[in-house]
Amino acid sequence: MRFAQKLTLTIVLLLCVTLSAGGAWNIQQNLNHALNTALQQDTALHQRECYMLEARIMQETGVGAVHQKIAESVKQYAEEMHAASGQESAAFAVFTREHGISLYSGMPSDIPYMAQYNAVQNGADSAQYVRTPQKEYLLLASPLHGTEEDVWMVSAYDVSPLFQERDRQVRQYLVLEVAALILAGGAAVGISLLLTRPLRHLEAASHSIAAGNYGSRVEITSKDEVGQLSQTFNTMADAVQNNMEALVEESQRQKRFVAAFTHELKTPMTAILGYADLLRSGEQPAPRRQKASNYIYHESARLEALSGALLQLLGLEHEQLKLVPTPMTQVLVEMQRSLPQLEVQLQVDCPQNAVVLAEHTLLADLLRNLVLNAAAASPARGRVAVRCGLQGEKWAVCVEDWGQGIPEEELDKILEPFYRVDKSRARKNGGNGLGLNLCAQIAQLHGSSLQIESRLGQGTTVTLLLKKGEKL
Amino acid sequence: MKKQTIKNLVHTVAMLAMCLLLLALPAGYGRWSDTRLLHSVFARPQLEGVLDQQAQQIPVLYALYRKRYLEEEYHDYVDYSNSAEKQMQLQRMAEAVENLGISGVLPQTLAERLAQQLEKSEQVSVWRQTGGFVGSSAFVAKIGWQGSSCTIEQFEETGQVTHLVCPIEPWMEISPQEVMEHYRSYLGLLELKDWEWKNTANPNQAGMWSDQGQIYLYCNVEEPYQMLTLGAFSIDPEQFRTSYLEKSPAKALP
Repeated sequence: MRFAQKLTLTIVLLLCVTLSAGGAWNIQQNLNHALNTALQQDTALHQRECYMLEARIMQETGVGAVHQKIAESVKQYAEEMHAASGQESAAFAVFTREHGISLYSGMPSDIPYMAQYNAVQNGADSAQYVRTPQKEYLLLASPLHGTEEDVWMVSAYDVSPLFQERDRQVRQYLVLEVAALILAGGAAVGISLLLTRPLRHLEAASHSIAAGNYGSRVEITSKDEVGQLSQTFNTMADAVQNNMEALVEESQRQKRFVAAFTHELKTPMTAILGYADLLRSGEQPAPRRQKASNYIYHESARLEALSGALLQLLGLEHEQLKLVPTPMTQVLVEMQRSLPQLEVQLQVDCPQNAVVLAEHTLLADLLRNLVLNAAAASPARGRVAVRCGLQGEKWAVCVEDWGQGIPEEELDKILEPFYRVDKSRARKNGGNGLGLNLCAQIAQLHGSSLQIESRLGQGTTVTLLLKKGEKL
Repeated sequence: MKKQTIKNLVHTVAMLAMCLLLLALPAGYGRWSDTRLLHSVFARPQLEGVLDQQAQQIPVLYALYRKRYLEEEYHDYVDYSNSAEKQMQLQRMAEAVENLGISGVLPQTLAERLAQQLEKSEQVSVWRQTGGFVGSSAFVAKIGWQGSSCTIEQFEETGQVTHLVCPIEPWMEISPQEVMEHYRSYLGLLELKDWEWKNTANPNQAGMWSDQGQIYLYCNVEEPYQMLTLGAFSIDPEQFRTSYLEKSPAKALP
């Protein structure tokens, strides 16, 4: 069941309960009030009639008259009352209480004898109602003083107009209630649809997002709970969209990586296959055999280095480094030791007190790669400088060369795996295109990143900012 | 989907059916209340001004009280002056006066002279009043100023005098207060304990009121005309306070 439908039916049902219960109570209260008023009036009237009848009996029969004389007197009195009022007969009866003997009855014929008898038995302080097929009556009984002790008068007062009025009110209220429910039901439908409109928009947006349209959003038209839900939904949709874009980006990056890796494998493998095929095809002249063997050896070595670098990259992805205060001079000495071929070109300038938070081996490896790249980009025996200095609250380590530089449009790609600015020269120098990507990941593990500034034909500076370590 | 639609339809129909049932609630509640009403016995409301149960046991008091609710009617007026029953009617009047004398309401000499003169009276008429009262009037000579009528109203059931107008001799000293005291006893109203005097500046007038019995007793001695008026009537307490007590507040009997 739709929420709007539930809301509508609930409103209608609650309204129906309220109207019906309220109406029932109100109408019944009206009847009770009318009956009480009638009881008050009829009690006074009955009392007066008793006095009149008593006086009449006493006047005509004297005190303690026998039943027959009383009956005759009452009958005459009733006839006179009838003549005076024009009514068919006075609605009263006279009984002996003990034996229930009817001395006179001018009661409507449909009032049962037992009801009259019970009225007498219930006493002079009581009142009761009786319903006949046509009417409702109030019965009041009182003893007649001055007669024999057990002679009672029972009066019946027609209260059916009060019940008819009650029934009329019920019918009128039913019409009113139905009209109110129709109007309220219509209003409830409108209100429900209005209230649930933002929810329907949310539902539509959810379907749209599920269908792949991650840009779908809902319009926020209120500040209530539904408005807040819409806001939250939009925030969630933003997050989903961002994650999806990141996933797509990652997927594309992985595709590019696989493509590049495949390419990196395919080129040396093709050459290796070609030279191997040459060697197995028959006896070759010694220089050619030497060249083929060398080529196979070097390309295999490069593939091995590539595998090692890839393994290192994969290892870094899951690594949690423990950074400790490390003197930069120590790192730089280690780096220099691993690059004896660049001893002449490399200039290192670092204060003795430079202590950074780092993993010493990885940081040395990072600097080594940066220096190798710088040297590769420089002309033969070109100068490469490594400087270390304070920059705010951090130590900045810069690797600078004055080589060919990097085109501006390629700056944002050079950190991708297997990307090379000068592909032929890089491969010739034994580069596998993973060095800078490796450096970027090590920098990330140190809570930093590589800042690359380059001008074509003038050189490149790569800066790494490291957190200060306490003095050892 | 189809199953869900059917389920929704069933729920909707069920709720609408519940609404229809609720629409019948006022009628149903009315029927249920009627059944309760018709099988119950209710206490009758207490009417204002109803005579106290103890007071109702005093016949003359109850008759006077009941008379308030009846239309004042005088009927069956008969002039017995030339009738064979004249003497019987005069005898009845004389007995009533003698009883007043015996009870001390009237001075014995007055009662005896009145009775004698009544028995000798030439004119007597009798009428009936609603509520069981009978009135009679006869001319009495040789008492008071050139003679006068004597009027008596009696409660038929007991013969007690509830209203008397009679002539008196100028030399008779009659104390209205004393008459009241004896008259109260004569009517059998001593059981009522809340009697109070109605203050009056005139020593020839006296009145007594009982809230419980809703009855007022009065006695006037009219010296210029040498007449005595004595009687009792029932009146609603509220009406009595408004009409009779405002000008002369009551004073409790010692």
